[in-house]
Amino acid sequence: MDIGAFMQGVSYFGDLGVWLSIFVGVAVGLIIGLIPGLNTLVGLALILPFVFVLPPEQSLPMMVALFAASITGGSITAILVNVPGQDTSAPTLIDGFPLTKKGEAGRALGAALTASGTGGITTAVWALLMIPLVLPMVMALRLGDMVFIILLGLTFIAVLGRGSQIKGLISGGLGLVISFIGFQTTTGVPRFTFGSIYLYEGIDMIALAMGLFALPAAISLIVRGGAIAEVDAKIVAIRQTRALLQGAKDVYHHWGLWLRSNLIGYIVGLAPGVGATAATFVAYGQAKLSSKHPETFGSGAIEGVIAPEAANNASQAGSMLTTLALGIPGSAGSALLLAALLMIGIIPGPQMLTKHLALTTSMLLTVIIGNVLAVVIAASLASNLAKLSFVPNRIIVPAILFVALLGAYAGEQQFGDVVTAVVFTGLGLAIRRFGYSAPALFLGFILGTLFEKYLFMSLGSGGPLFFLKPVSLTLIVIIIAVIFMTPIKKMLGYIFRRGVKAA
Amino acid sequence: MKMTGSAYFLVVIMVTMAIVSGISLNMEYLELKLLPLILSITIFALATIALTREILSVRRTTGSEATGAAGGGARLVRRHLIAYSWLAGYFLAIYLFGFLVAIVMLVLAYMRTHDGRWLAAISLAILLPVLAYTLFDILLNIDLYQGLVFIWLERMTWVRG
Repeated sequence: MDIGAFMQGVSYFGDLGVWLSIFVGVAVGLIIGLIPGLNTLVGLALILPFVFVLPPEQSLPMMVALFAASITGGSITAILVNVPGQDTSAPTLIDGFPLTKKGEAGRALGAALTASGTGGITTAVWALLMIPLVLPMVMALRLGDMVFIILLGLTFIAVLGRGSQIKGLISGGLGLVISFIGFQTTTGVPRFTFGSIYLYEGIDMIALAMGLFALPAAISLIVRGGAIAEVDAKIVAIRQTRALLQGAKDVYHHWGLWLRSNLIGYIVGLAPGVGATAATFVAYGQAKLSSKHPETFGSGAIEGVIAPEAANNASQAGSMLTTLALGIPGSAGSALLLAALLMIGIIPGPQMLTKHLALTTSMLLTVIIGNVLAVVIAASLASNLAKLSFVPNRIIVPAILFVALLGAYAGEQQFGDVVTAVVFTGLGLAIRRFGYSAPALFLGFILGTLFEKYLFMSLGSGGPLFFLKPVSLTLIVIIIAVIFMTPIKKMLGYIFRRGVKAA
Repeated sequence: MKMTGSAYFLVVIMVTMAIVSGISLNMEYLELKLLPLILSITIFALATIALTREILSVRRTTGSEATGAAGGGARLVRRHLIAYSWLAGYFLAIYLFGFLVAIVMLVLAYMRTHDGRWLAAISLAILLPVLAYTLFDILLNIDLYQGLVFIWLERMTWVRG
C-alpha cells in the first residue's frame, strides 16, 4: 500500500472542518437512524447538496459518518422501543426488546453498541489492508470490461434487492433512460429536451435524489399521520454503566460468534447490490443454528443481539470498497455515495486506489472514527435519544419538506431543480407504492452517462466484438446467471416437486 | 376487468417507452439512438410481461377480496393525494414568496391543521428560516430564491426609485 497516500489521508484529519463534518454526519445519522420511517437513504439524500459547497475531504466523510451512525441509531429504538429504526435493526429487535422487558436494556444496548462499533472498525481495517490486493485486479480491467461491470452492478441491485426481479430491472432501465435527457456525451447533441433549455444539462442528480427518496418519505409520513412510534411512551432509562459494560463483556465471551458475523457482514457488503439488511438476517440465522440453546432465541438471547449488530456495520466497509474500487455500489446507500463522487468529478474505479488513494483512505478511516463517535454518543445518551422516535410527524414532515426542496435548489441555484424534485416525487411515490426499486432507478441514472461513454469508446477502439475478451465474457455470464437465477430455481423446484408427487 | 394501480403504472411505462422508441428512431446519429432504442424496447417488453402477470393475478383474486381491496385502495389514493397537495401547496408558496416565507407558512398551516400547539408551531416557524438563512445565505453564500412576488416588488421599487 502507498504509505505516502495513506499518510496524506490521515493528514486530512488535522483539519478541524473535517472533524466538524464527521460530527455533523454522526449527529444527523443517529437522529435519522432513530426515527422509524426515515432511513439512511433519506439522510444521505438530504445532505447530498452539501457535496457541492464543501470540499470533498469534508463532504464525503460527512456522508460516510452518517451512514455508520444511522445503522447504530436504528439499534437503539429496536432495543428500547420495540420499533426498528432501520431495516438493518429488524433482527436486533427480536431478542433486544425481550431483554429490555426483562430489565436488561443496558446489557442489550452495551452488547449491540460494542458488536456494531467493533464490527465497523475491524472491517474498515480489513478493507484498508485489502487495497494492495484489489489494486492489481482493478488495474487489469479494460474499458470494455467497465461496460459490463456497470451492467453487473445494475443487475445486482435490481435483481437482488427487495421486490420483484422484473420490477427491479424495469427500475434500472428507467434510470438509464432518464439519464439520456440532455446533451449526449459523444456527439454533444441534445436528446429528449423538447426545446427546454433547462433540460439541456439533463436532470439534476440532487433533485432526482430528493424526489425519489426524501420527499416520498415525507409524503408517507403525512399519509401515516400521528406519531411514528405507536407504543407506550415509557422508555427505560439506561443509567448503569455496569449494565453497558456487561453487554460489552458478552461480546468478548462470544468472540467466535462476533467474528463469524463480522465476516458475513463484510462478505455480503462486498457483494454488489445485496446490502446490510440481508447480512443481518443471515448473521442472526447462523447465530441461532450454531447456538447451544437455540430455543432461547426470540425471548432474550444475547447472541441474537450480538450477531446482527456485528454484521450490520461490518457490511459498510465491504460495500464501500466495492463502490470505490469498481464503481459498483455494494448497497443502496453506497449508490448515493457514488452519486456524490460523480458530482465532484471523481469517477470510481482504478483512480480511487491510485490518484485519489488519500481520499479513499480518509473515507475508510472515517468509518472507524464515525463508529467510535456513534457508539460513545449512543452509550451516553441512549434513553434520551430514543425519545426522538416519539417526535410527532407534524414536526418532522415540515422539516423534511423544507430541507429537501431547499437542498434541491441549493446545488445549482435553479428553481427548475425544485420543479424537478416535485415532479419526480410522483415517480418516487409510484415506485414505493407498486414495489419497484428506487435505488436501482437512481443507480441507473447516475451510471447511465458513464455506461454510454464507455460503450461507444469500446465500440470505437475494439469494434462490435469488443466484448470477446475473457473478463468481459465472464461478466456477461455472471449477469445472465443472476438474471435467470430466480426463474431457473423456481423451475427446478417445480420439477422436483412434481417428481416427488409422482414418486 | 378492473385494473389495479400497478397495472395502470405499467401501462404508463409502456406508453412512455413507446414514445421514447418513436423519438429515438427519428434521431440522426447512431450514437444518439442506439441505447435509448434498445432500452426502451427492453423495458416495454419487461413491462408487458409484468402487466400480463398483474392481470392474471387480479383475475385469480375473488370478487369480495377485490371489492374490499378496491375500497381500501381508493382511501389510500385519496390520502396520498391530500399528502401530495401539501407538497404542491408548499411548492407554490416557494414559487410565489420564496423559501423563507414559504416555510413559515407551511409550518404554521401544517402544524395547526394537525393539532399542533401555537407555541411549538411558532417556535419551529422561526427556527427553520433562521437556520436556513444562517447556513445557506451567511455561511455558504448561497442566495435563496426570493419568490415571484418579492422579485416583482423589488423591480417596482427600482423602477419607481
